[in-house]
Amino acid sequence: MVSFQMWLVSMFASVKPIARLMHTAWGWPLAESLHFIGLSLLIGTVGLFDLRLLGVGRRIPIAAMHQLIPWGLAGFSINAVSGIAFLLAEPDQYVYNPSFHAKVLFIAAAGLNALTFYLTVYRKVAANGAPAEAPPAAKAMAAASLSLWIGVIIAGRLLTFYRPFPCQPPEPGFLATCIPGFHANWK
Amino acid sequence: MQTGSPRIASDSQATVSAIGIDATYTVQNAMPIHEGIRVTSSRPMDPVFRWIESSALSVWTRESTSPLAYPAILSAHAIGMALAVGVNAAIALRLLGAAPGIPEVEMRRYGGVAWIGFAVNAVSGMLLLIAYPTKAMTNPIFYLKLSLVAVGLAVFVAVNKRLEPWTSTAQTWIGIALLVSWGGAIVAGRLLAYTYRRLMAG
Repeated sequence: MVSFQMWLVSMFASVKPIARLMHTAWGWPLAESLHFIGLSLLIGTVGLFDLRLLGVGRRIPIAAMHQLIPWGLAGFSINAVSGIAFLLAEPDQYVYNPSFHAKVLFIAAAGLNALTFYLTVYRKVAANGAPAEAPPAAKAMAAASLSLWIGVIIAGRLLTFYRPFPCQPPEPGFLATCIPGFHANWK
Repeated sequence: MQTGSPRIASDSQATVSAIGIDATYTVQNAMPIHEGIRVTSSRPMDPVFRWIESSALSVWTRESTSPLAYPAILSAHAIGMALAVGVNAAIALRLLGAAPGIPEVEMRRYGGVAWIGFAVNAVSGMLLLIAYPTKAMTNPIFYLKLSLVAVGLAVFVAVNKRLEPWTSTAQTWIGIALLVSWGGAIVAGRLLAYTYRRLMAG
């Protein structure tokens, strides 16, 4: 995994134009602003849909609430683009950051959770004349979605408190949470 | 902001370029910029800032290594923002014609979620302000952020009271006002980390 991390860093670092843009006076603050706007859009749509499944605003048909989801995808896309810009600009600050590992894990879990929702209960809960009360399975997935996205926000906010430093001996194990390559015996 | 006015010769001058704004300050001694630039003009609020900075709550928020201090407060501020701005964005999108299946008046059901977000951010924002009063209150963008929050909050309260009987032109403008004020508040909030001139008065 450590060599995969080192490969990732060198790949990201090779994309120079984005990094240059990000290191201008406006680059980083602009990307961060977009990242926060995107996350608000995501929580305001996907999060509200989750709350609807959990029973808030029962008089709104679940299918109608689902019409907000494309805007959530737009928010996620804004964040994917701005997030990748951060990654390309300072790859080692993310690839070796344990908070980033948690964040990626939570995003992947939220994605799998959403996929499971669409493959299982979505058709039933969003059908014409579906009951206002979502089935327990849908509620469980909604609760998982909300918790995971909040976890993503927390892990994102904590990135700065887990900045990786150059590795000291002994060598990192499975997953590096420090920046390797500073010691002579490192490949 | 004092720009380029002649200063006492014995003081050295430093030019700060933050986000395209160039300002010349007189500095008394060579200090790293991140530790704050000492402006020689009268600073009547400094005793107040110093008093706040020396309070136990300020010191704890700023210096505690507990994950429940600064990291948790920052996380809470981001989650509160997501809830408050998220609900406002959803209301704005609905007013602008998105998700036509949602009865407009029912969007009110999520007003409570926005209020939870506002409450979380009032408390967490106050703690961040107590931790670094000089940093925020000597930065004009902080007041811009507060103004944008005030506008967004006022529009939200008006809209949340009655979502239905607006004309379609009014709806469009309300939707735009919500998106611009909250989007602007987010941008201003983010800029605070890049545009402050002094970190602490003490």
